[in-house]
Amino acid sequence: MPIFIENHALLAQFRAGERAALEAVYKFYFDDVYRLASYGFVTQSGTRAPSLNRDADRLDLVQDVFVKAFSPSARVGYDELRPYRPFILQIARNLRIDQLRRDGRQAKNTDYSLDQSVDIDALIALNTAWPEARSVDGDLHFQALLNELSTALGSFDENTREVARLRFVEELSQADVAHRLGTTRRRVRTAEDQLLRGVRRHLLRLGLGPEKE
Amino acid sequence: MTKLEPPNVQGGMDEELAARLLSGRNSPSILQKEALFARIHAEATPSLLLARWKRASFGIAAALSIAAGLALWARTPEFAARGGGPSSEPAFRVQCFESEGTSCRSGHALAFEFAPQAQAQYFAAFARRSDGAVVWYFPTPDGLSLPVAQTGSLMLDHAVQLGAEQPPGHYEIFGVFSAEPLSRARIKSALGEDLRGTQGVRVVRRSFEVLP
Repeated sequence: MPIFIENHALLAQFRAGERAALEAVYKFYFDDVYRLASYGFVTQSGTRAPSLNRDADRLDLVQDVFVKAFSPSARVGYDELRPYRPFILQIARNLRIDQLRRDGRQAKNTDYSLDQSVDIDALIALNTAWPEARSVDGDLHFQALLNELSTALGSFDENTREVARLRFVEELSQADVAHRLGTTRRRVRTAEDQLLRGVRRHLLRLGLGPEKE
Repeated sequence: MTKLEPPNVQGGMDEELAARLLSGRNSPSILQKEALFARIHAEATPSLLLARWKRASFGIAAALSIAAGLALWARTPEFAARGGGPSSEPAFRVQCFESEGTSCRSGHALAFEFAPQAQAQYFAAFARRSDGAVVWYFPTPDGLSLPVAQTGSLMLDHAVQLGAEQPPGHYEIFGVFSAEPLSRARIKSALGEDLRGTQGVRVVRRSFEVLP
């Protein structure tokens, strides 16, 4: 369900630029904007934006999109008659095209092999879902690491494993995890640090780690 | 050889990988998302930050600070001109309005002060934390690097407030000088592998610490 539907209080807070409201909107639409950066797209006028292969470039675009979407003029300029998703995807689409124009398209070095060739204008107009992502080689490496994770998690107590689930799978804030588990934020932070250190140690022991580019 | 961590990659890769594994998804983790949001929030509210900075900078403290900076100019190693006249090499230093030296507390405003320039320059800046995380100061995502006056010492008319996106720790600030205004994308491509700058771009680094 769109984030502002039947939540006029949130919309008012968002327009006022309140941090909590901006963060709620950011979390709700992060994946959509990140996918636009990851997939690449074509417009109905024929402009083709290749996918951004480096994670850092995708996050750069995500940052630029939300900075623009959260500017006072954009916040006030959004009318609640339309869903917010097409609104922010339109900003992302336009920024990506501006970026290509500024960079002179870099056509010689462009690799379209990973593109999903999404018709971005149709997706925005109809507010449809993104297609399933294609599997790439990096996913196999990640899957191999993931298979090793159960051993590492087994060494933690049940409470710490619950912190892992709430914090990393459900993506709750530290404060919300603390509230849910009836503990303090400091204990959640400590458990989070232990989890991250534990996983990294486990991967190092196995001689596994980040895939080299 | 120093390898540039791409701007806006947050945290060490090992930590991010561990966080992604804990989530079961090979996409930005909650840690990366939270760090990115802190930067977005800071960048999306520049008018508030600038207003705060202006209140601080146009007071007596700022006037005294600039006067003191001018008096100390020739004795400051990072600005020392070779050969006695105005240096043709671009140089800058950072200054916290609320304290002296190369440290500044969270929440305080950071100003940029330039050495006399022999030729027109444009200036961009970003900070890199010891773990590789990068925070852009100038230009804005849509903008271009800022003009620096040709002669005389001056403070840049833009300041940075040290918010949540720049937690306490050691940073290296990269000042990027160029003969023409550049976008972030062009700056990144012109930095070069050794981060010294290519294609007419000069990079000057300054160490800096954010205190709790």
